[in-house]
Amino acid sequence: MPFYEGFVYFARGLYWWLYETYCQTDTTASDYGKCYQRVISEAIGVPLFTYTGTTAPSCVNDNTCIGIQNPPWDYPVTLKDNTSIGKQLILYKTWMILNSNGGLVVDKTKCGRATVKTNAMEENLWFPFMFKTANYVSGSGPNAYNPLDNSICGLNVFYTPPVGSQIVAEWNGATLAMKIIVDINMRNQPNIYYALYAAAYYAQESSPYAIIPLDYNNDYVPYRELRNAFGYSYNGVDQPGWNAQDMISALKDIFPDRSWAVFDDNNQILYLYNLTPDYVPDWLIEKLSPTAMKVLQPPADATVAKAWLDLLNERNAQIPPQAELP
Amino acid sequence: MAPPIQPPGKKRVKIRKGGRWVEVDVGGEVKKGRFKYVKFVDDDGLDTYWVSPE
Repeated sequence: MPFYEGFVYFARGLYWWLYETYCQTDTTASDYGKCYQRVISEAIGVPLFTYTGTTAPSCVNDNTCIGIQNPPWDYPVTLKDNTSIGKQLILYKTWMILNSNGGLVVDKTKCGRATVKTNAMEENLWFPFMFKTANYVSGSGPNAYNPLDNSICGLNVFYTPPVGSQIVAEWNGATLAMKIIVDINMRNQPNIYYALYAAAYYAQESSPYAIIPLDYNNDYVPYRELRNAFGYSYNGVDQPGWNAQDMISALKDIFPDRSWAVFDDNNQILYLYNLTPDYVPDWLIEKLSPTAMKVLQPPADATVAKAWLDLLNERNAQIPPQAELP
Repeated sequence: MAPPIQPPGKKRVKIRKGGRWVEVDVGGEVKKGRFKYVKFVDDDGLDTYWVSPE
């Protein structure tokens, strides 16, 4: 079982610590207070930078701060698409500012809130990352100016008067998790200004998969049996187990007359049962990139193999694409 | 010893298998997505499609 790790992050809005962002901090410049996003995307929301003054950024004065129209409810961020249930560690942190002239997102005491959830927790956890500071900048961390009520938001999970440096972001962890969902929860309200940063580190052991779509209602008993033998996912594509040969043995016993496949992640071999490569869709090959395919048993009945392919394509089409940030 | 005579129409290719190069008789080719696989009968007796080195 190959073991690997990775780090991902994404950011939207303006961030003073990202090199892609440039904010004009020269008070004599005509565009003082303006920030420019060079690479990631267009500037969204209020400029964020280490704010030390009391004057509103120029985008507030000339009404050029960019608001988001038609924001979605949330932004799910899937790190690894359900490929390693039970073998994954995720550490993550989020950082954001948001506001709404509808008054639904903030409650006048906080600058912003984020909902972060994982499949392991299955609940919404509210992290009020940014508390409003009175009239000063908190600590040495990033701060944001909120033009909607002319206040400053300091990234400080537990608001205390600053004494020296403070930890301004927390790392949270989720073991046995498949993914995290960073839910900005904009409630579809327009004119929300925001900036968001989310980072995640993950360590993961890969898994062999059984590839056999089942229907919970029509195949209840085998569904349960398969679920007890190894993980079962709704899409039928990424049902992880521990040992490919054990999975093949179990599947031969449970489903001797159906078509199925097992991907051995260790040797990168895709085993085909009642199948030939003709029935394996290209998208599955692209997804798994197997070094080899081995035919355990060719299909005695082509309709069985065709049924597997049709159902697999159908389930795959239902996998929602990863949402993209504006 | 004289080299083995290759049957007419049989193509032999070297594939990277188990950390070493192995020469196999190709019984066909299949293209899937970006990958091209060559077909042969592996040591375990199974019809096998191995990613082509070409």
